[in-house]
Amino acid sequence: MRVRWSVHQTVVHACLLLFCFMCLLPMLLTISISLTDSAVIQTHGYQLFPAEFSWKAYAFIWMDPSSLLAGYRNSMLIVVIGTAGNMLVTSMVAYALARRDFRYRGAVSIYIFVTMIFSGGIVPLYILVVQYLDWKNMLIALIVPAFAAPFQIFMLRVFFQEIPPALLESAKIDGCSDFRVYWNIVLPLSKPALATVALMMTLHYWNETFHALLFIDRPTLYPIQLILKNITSYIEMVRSGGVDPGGQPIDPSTVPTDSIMYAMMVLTSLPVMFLFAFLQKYFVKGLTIGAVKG
Amino acid sequence: MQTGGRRRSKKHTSLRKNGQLIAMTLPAILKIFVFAYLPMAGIILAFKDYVPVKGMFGSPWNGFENFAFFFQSADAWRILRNTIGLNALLIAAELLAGVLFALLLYEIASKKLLKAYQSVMFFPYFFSWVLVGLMMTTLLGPSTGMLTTLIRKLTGHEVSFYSEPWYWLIILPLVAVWKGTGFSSLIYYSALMSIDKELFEAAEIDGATRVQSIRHISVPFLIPMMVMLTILAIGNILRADFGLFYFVPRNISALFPVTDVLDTYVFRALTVNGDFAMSAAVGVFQSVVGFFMILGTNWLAKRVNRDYGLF
Repeated sequence: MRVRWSVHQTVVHACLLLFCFMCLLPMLLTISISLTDSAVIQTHGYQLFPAEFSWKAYAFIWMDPSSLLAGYRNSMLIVVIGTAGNMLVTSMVAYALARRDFRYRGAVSIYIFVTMIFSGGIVPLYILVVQYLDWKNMLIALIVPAFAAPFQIFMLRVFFQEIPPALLESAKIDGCSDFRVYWNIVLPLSKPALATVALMMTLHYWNETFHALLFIDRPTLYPIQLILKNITSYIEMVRSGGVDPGGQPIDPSTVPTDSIMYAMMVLTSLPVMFLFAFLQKYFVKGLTIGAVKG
Repeated sequence: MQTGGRRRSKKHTSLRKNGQLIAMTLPAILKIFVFAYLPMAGIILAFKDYVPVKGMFGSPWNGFENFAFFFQSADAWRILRNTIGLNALLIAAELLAGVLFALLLYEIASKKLLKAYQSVMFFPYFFSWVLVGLMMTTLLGPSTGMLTTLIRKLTGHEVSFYSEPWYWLIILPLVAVWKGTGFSSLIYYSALMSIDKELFEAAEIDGATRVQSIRHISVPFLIPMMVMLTILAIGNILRADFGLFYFVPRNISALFPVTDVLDTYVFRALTVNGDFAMSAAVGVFQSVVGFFMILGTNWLAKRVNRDYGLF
């Protein structure tokens, strides 16, 4: 490939730079608006670089962080328990399916594949969870339905199949049980793939809103996305509080409504931005390998 | 998703040898049974006059009345049109953007720059639809939105994105492309990486320009994957991405003529009206048609080229 400067290369870089800028812009804008003084927003509209810097919105949220913290607690529980449990269930079945000597691999694969192309729809699931399992207003209703997703099972299976079978066979000859081969050999050898899948699960659990809307209506159990979705009622609550962060009574109309919304948007996406910053490279790597192999 | 060849040797086939492996599949099998197979039995609900106190099995049958109720309603045509039309637009837009950006990334020689571009393009993929919906109000909101303000300054017109549905024919595909291209371009890029580099060198020696090389080497190479992913997408054309269609247009009823799709309709019927039987009927329609769509598109793809099929 030619590296030297050319019109062609310039066009390529310009297109990519423009798109990358658009990918970053909304979040940069959100952060900057959350740090802008409300009065400035009223007069100048939204700006990428705040004319007058202000922490006020964050101070208002800090006054009564209970609902935000409850959202964090609920979502963290869902993410941690969900990802750990889901990883175990998904990787175990993927491992069994990757083993060529597993007698029922064909049958189990078909059993899983059928659910990819046909489903009973959302209403039977809703009735099952709410009436038969009685999981309405329980966080487990947001955790278990995402377990053993076919796509992730088949993705992990592809990775596991890359491990030389001779390695597993020699371990078995040495007396390792199937589970110990999985736990002590296959899992440690598949760290990049496991990291990719774990990241996908974490993102799913943190961002999931559909099941939360269906199954959770008690505000103390709201995961973080429902807190964000109900942001307008949250802001009303702050306004009706009637005191400023210093504890002084204030006029509700001076509460920085706009910037509080943006501050909440920033605060609820801090974990995904953290994930993005530190784990994103594994994601790209894992998906690239997976796609090539698949 | 093939199961591959089964090489069975006698000593491995006994239950004793496979016992632990079977045990390891059980949690997944149980979960899939409860959350995917049991709800399939719930399909009968679509053919019943659902009375909550009588339960799913105790309620009386009413044949195809629930289906008739939906298809004879004024909403049916609008919702089917929106679901199929917008999903077709989304499939086309995502395919084009994914391939285009994969080809662009493939032109980048510097490893560092490539990583940087790929990473940044992945950023929106990490956002929830709720967050994306709120971000869009920053751009499109009435009076204060940045784009609204810009248009007002340039043309003097007051555009109202949240009350004029037809804009959303463009906005929704753009948002989907913005959020999904990091992912889709990566898939196509991975395929491009397996092209033999010598092909390009040979083409260059023969005097082909870069653009000609892309057209005659890279693009044909991607076609099987394009066909495969499009088949999958067309098979799911009746399933709309709930988050995109619910949170980005903010569930505003003025936008329903364009943005209301089967999934948002069923969600509202279920949560607002509590109309279980009709929602179930729509869900069954979605599943059954979707099932035959997948079989049909797969059959079609195999007729075009035997290797293109999915199963």
